[in-house]
Amino acid sequence: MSATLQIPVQVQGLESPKHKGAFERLSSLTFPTYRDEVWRRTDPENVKPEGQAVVAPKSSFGMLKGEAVPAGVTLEAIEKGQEFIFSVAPVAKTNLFDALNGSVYQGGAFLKVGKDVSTGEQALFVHHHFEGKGMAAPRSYLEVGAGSSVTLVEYFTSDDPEMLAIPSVEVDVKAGAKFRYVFVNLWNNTARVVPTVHAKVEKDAHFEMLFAGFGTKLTKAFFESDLIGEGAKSELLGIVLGQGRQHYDMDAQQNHRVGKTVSDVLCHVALTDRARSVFAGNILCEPGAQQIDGYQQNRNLLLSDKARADSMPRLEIEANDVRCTHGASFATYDRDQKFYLQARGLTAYEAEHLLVTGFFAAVVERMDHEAVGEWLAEKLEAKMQAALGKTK
Amino acid sequence: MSETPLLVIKNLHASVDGKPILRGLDLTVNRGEIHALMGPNGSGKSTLSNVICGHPNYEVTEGEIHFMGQNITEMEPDERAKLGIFLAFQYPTSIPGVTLANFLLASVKAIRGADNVKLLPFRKELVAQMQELGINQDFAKRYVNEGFSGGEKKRCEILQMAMLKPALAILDETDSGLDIDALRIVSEGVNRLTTPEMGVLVITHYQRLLNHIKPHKVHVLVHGRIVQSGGPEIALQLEENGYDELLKAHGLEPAGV
Ligand SMILES: Nc1ncnc2c1ncn2[C@@H]1O[C@H](COP(=O)(O)OP(=O)(O)OP(=O)(O)O)[C@@H](O)[C@H]1O
Ligand SMILES: [Mg+2]
Repeated sequence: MSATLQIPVQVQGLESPKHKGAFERLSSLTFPTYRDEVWRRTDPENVKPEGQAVVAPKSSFGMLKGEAVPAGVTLEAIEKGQEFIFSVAPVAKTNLFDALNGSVYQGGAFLKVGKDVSTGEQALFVHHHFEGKGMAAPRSYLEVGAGSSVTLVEYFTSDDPEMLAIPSVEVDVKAGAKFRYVFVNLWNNTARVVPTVHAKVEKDAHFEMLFAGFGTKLTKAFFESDLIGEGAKSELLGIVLGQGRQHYDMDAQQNHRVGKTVSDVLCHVALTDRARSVFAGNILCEPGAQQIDGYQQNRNLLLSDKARADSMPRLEIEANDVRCTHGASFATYDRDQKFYLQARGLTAYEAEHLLVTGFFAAVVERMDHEAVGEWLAEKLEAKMQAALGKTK
Repeated sequence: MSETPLLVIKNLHASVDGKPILRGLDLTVNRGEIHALMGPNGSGKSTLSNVICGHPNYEVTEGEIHFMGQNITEMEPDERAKLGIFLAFQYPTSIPGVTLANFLLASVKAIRGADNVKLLPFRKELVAQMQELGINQDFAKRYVNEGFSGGEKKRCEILQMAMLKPALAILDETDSGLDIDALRIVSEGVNRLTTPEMGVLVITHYQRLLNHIKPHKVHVLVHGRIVQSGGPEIALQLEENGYDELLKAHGLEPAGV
């Protein structure tokens, strides 16, 4: 199939070298088909741009509870940080959606944190809301300076039921820093979303990302971490609630570029109705990289007979002198759990509610951030009432 | 004196995925009675307990289940639990993210009514019952059955029975996985919790449990039907002779799962 790609008409940013570079890369790529390995379970035709105009978000930048942004933190629109774009993910290596985003992006967050800054119990908070029809292509560049410890919630919402959204995020966690990043995928319930998050984790740095997927008709997400310095750790946490015919396909790639690095992926997916999920985890160990720990866990909670979840763990070791501890565990829970709770007197709704709450809490607790945990619980509660009320 | 029996099962047929498992089962349990149910692997004992509790995987194709004079055959599992039916599962499932304490609080509230449960007395009661059953207090903070050993799971089932105070307790192989001391502690717990108002259905393969929990009646389930009922002596005979003769007498192949 020859894949022609229509580029959205509003490419006003194209005059900047970054936009141009991305556009060149984009022009060298062909649109994927379902025959491509990573698109096996999500037909790319469903997320094909069709010449929609790019809509800019209304964004707010601040703190979760309205506090003052600490000194040493720059948090504003991406347009202020254009020079840093494609410094984490070289443009020549981007996937098509990331290249497309780079060609047309409008809006997004630019975070630059200096050395030894801490947000402590508080969290930085960015909300992008997209109104009106079109394609959303926000781009964020998030950099946390050496020795800093920072938490950021980036929250995406939209009105347009037809929206196609292709957010891209680049993350650079400098030596010894800790960055907690919460990506909240709460677009309109019928939006189609292809997020790409690419992180670079330096020596002794710790990147901890939580992906909260509670909305959208279709999400095909690409998460990639490069562990480039000894002592680096990448943790990817995921909580996903699918209802109706919602479809979630997540691709988690952990690249151990050097030895003495750790990656840990934990993804809990709860599905009702006819919702569907795919989790593909891949751990790559580069030649000569010693003492690597790579863990993947994907657990799926199926609350209806028609819901379906697939797990695909992979491990690539590029040299045989690598010592890699690799643990993958996949489990699916179904009606027995719900029955267990019902047999103890909980109604079908109460049982599902408790199951899902606990199932997600087990992941969110790992993040160990009370304010963010509470904020997420509130968002989840609203979604759960809608999703579980129906299956009653 | 004709009191309404606690549980009456009449000509019960049930299948899973269209495959018949229970084929015309009759059973009556009165208040104050302890019944033991024995039978070879795969004969349908757990199926019966699941069907009594309303597991959605099993379809009742014929017959009825009455509890305290009410036909419960079509009831939701939680409605049955609220009437006082309790099942200690053969294989209790784990529930990640839900602590044992929260789980118990939710179920005690569901059974007794949320307004009748105050947090402080609930906690005291839980601590006391855990002590009685020799369960470390740390378990309250652990996720339900997650990473519990076989024996720990079984003790926690009895802890739930202690907190929920059912009118009918079905214990599905609660003795399996228990060490000798635990078997004694758990049996003592069950005996302590059993009131003259209650009925108990003990499913087991072994006489050793029945040395502790003394049944009034023993039934043998074979191929989805109760083929023999009588006093405690039946369990002793089975321990001696196994199921082969019973199976042959009913035209069935011995020991096939
Ligand atoms: N959910 C199910 N799906 C398919 N088959 C089932 C299911 N539940 C029970 N069965 C089948 O029904 C039959 C009876 O099973 P059941 O668990 O009731 O036996 P049991 O008497 O409790 O055996 P055991 O002593 O081994 O516990 C078995 O052949 C079993 O494989
Ligand atoms: Mg059984």
